[in-house]
Order: sequence, then C-alpha cells, then structure tokens
Amino acid sequence: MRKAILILILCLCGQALSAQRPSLGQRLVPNRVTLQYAGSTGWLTAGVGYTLDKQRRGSLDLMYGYVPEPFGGQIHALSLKGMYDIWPIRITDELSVSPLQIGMFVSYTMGSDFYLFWPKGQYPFLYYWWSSGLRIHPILHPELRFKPQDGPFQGKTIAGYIELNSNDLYIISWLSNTEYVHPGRIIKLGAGLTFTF
Amino acid sequence: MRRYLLPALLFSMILFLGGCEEFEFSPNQKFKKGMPRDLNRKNYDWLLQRPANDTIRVVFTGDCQRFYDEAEDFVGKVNSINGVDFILIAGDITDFGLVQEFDWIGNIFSKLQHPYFGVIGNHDFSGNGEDVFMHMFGEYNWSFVYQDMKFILHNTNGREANFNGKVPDMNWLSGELGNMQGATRAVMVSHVPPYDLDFDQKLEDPYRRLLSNSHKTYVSLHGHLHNAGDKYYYGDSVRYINSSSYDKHVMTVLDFVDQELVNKYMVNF
Repeated sequence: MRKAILILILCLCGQALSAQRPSLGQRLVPNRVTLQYAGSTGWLTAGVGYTLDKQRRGSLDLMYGYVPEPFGGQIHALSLKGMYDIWPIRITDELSVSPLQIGMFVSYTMGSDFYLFWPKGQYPFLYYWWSSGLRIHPILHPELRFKPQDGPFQGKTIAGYIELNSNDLYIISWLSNTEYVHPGRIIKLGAGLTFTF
Repeated sequence: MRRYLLPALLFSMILFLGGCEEFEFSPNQKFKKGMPRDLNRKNYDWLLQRPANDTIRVVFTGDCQRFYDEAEDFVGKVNSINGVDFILIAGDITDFGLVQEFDWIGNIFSKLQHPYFGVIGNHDFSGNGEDVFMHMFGEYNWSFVYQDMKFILHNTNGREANFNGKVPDMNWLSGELGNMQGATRAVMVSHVPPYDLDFDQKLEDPYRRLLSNSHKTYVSLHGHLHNAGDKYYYGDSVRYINSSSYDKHVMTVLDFVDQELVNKYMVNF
C-alpha cells in the first residue's frame, strides 16, 4: 500500500515537472523592473521583481532606495514589497486599470544609527519596543497599465502608478491621537513606472 | 461605459486624497521641506525683542512624545496664562525620533504666543533623530542669558552614547558655569536627571559636584521620569525639579525674581 502511494506521488511529481513550465533557474530571473520617486523608500528607488502567478495579480519586488543629502539624507534603504491586484479592469486590449492593488512593504534603513535589534549591552530588554531600522508599510498602489499589441514591446507591460503608504509608527501615532493626527497626516505618496517583460 | 464609472470614481478619489498628502522620501529623513529650523536661536532673538518685567515666568515641561492631542491642549492653556516669558521642553520631544514627529510638534507649538526652547531627550536620538533635532532646534549643548540669568540647555542622555564618559560634556558645562556672560545665576536644563540609571554613572558624582560647587546654579530642571518631582536630591544647594509628561495634563510654572526662584505652580491643562 505504502509503495503504491509513493509511486503515485512520484508520478504526480513527474507530471508536474514534465509540464511546459519554466525551470527553477528561469523562474528566478526577475521579470519586471521598477523606478519610483519618493514613496518612503528613497528619493529615487530602483527595483527588480516578479509577478507571482499567471494572471499577474500577485507581485514581489526588491528595491533599493537612496535619499541624497539635499533631500534629507544620506539614506540608503532596502525594501521588499508584496502586492495583490484585487480588481484588474480591462479597458481596451492595450489598456487596463487596477484601482485596488494593495499590499505592504518592509523597509530596512542601513547605517550605524539604525538597529534591527537594539544592542543588548547598551539597552535593557525592551527599553525601546520598536525597531529603528525596520518599518512596515501598508500600501494602496493604483496602477494604469499599457500593453502594446504590436511593435517592439508587444506583450510587455508598461505601468504607471501612484502609491499611498503609511507605516507602523505613524499608525500608532494616529491611534493614540485621534484629534490631531488624521489619515491625511500619516498617508505619504510615491509615484513610479514598472516595466514587465 | 457604466462599468468604468466605479473605477474611475475610485481612481479620482485616490488622486484627490493624494492631492492633500505629501511625497515622502523616507520616514528617517534628517529634515524635510517646510519644517521649522534653528528654533532655539530664533526664539531667543524673539525673546529679547519682547517687553520684559521684573518676573521671569517660565513654563517648564518635558516628554511631549506622541502626545499630540495633549500638546494642543497645552498650547491653548499656556496662551491663556499671563506674563509667560518662555517655555522649556526638557527632552523627548518625539517618541521615535522621526522627522514627522518633530514636524507635528513644530506645527502644534507654532501656535504658542511665546518663544519655546527644546532640549534633546533619549527618544529624540532614535534613528536620525539627533540630526532632526539639530536641524529644528540647533546644538544640544547651548545656553542663553536673559535678564542676568543664564539657562544652560544640555544633553545628559548618557545611555544613548553607551555611557562613554562624554555625555554630559563636563568640560563644556564647567566652561559655561565658569564664564557666565554677565549673568549672576544659572538654571540647568536637561532631560535625564543625574540620579537616573540612564545617566552615565561615572559622571553622576562629578556632575552634582560641579553644580553645587559652582555656587552659580541652584536649580536643575529635568524630564524623563514622566512624573513631577521637586527635591534637594543630594542634600546640597541644588534643587532638582522634574516635569510631568504631557499625558498627565499638568505643567510646571516657575517665577524667577532677582535671579531667585520665588514661586512654583502646577497648572493643569
């Protein structure tokens, strides 16, 4: 009996592997690049990423952002952004819009002033409860997509987006100050372009 | 066409919302456009231009960290008190050291009808907080003379420097008490009191000796403990006064006449 089950599992695995799917190596190659202005990840941020499913509704991007000195830096930050497109709407064959693409990103600010964990020798346990280096940002990322039906970029997608984000510490500030702090004070903006190939 | 109505509406709503908000490069920016700058120096210039009388009335507070609603109540109350010369915030202006928090406090305190001075607290060091503090208020160790009294604002957040023996800066302090720039008495203003564990233990004794042996100062003002206190802590000539945090809705008002502290009131807000 156990042998039979094992064979069945092996057959299923074989089936899965033999299907017309990209190899693991191919799947590790990013299929999109992003360039973003502001959005709390940097003054300018560049990223590579993946669409996670065939319908391209889920995505994951790894981004590096930089804030130069005249804009409040220098700051170097790495961000990992995951999104899901709840409601893609086709307008024409070439044009579609996603008003409700939501997700979150975690951003890590690099440098000696920023801690993932506060140094144990210097601070007693939970002296500060938050991490100064790591922020968690919920996002709303509405997007307008253009997919040329012919020409050199046939089948590729160029998307323009604006992104609304807040973060854990801003939200906590809002929750404890419902009069002075309101969503308009804790929602920050970014804008960018994503090219999916 | 009807099927595009809802998304179009949603999209324009988001754009409208977006219109009210700002593009942020990082929550950890060292400054941002439009925020107050160099306030301690500017407010000192303002203080000197205002009419003065025999009494120096100081509103003394600290630890407004993430108490914005309370800070608004505070500003309203201070503006209703007669004869206030200036306001001191003895550190922990922010909770997380974020530029956004400094900017909110700057926005709320811009409605004060009197000058205010900021001192750096341990929370203000988090991340790039110390850079934001310097941008908004100026140097951590800074003093000013007003009507023959010297107010010495300084950094006592020893733990943030990992107790390296340099915070507070004893050389700077003895220099300040040595050269009084025409003042006869000094008031010390800092965040962590010397008898707290966040003060560099190696410097506790030299610090309290410097204060009491100088014969120039008899009042040391602190925040950090979140509860009002008033005690000759070491049994010497120096009176250590602690402020309440803003969530306690109480401020300390100090009246100085002829360089003496003649009255202390607790005022609820």
